[in-house]
Amino acid sequence: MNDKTISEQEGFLLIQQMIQATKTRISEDGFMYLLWGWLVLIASLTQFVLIQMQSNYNGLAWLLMPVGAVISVVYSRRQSKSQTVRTYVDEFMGYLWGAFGASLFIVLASTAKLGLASTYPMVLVLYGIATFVSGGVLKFRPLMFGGVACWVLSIVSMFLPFEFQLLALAAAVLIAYVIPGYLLRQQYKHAVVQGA
Amino acid sequence: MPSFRELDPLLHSELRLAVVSLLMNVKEAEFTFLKEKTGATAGNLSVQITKLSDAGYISVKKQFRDNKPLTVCKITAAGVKAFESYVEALKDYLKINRS
Repeated sequence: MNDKTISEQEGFLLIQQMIQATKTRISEDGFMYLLWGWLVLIASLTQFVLIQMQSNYNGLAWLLMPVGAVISVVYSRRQSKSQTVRTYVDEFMGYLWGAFGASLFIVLASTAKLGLASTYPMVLVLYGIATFVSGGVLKFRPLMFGGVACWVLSIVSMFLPFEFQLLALAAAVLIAYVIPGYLLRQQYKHAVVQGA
Repeated sequence: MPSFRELDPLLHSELRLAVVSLLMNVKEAEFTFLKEKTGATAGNLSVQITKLSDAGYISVKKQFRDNKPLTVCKITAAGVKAFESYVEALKDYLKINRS
């Protein structure tokens, strides 16, 4: 391409091509969904098992969360270094998950005030918002479905004793993060092979 | 002779129109992204980016990352307006041509 003058038809065609060139860029490889999906799944199931074993250290598995946070930061830094373009979707996702993180922190820090029985249902409401909106923006139905599942499980878990809320949480991350994460990864690999 | 709006000469050029069209769809893009998508040479692209920047259609930020220079381009409000009126003018032109 050079700086030659073009005909009007060529102008339209060119605009169309360039719109297409930015549209086919798929940046979502599902890594974050898989990371957090697996970590929360392992942590919640471990706590459930430890409670059944009447362990006093049943919350120990949640120490995986800071590990996840460190991996997330390293991964995001690496991603932003290799990214040569920032779309409006990228920007929006940054704000959405940032807001999710802040809200999650407030809820988890207020466990004493909210009561242990209300904490996980609140967490699931937040999962629902972030997952459903992400799915809508990415036009990726499995995530939207996952968001709805989080909301349903949130309502269900309000009527469950604490240890069974852990199973609801495990089910939620499986449906909302782990499964869509693998589907996103598959789609991403397919797109890379096709050269999109 | 039917009259139609004059096409902005700054946009009515293959590479400059491509750059502005790409930037219309993203928040910001690095020089390497524009180079890859337009298939232009670095020298030519650089000249066209300077022209667009001088006209106030795009803003150009020069940064460093890992000690390597990095050029980040972003469309301005004036650029969006120019692009929109260019598209309108194109539409007029095609309509008149068809009738």
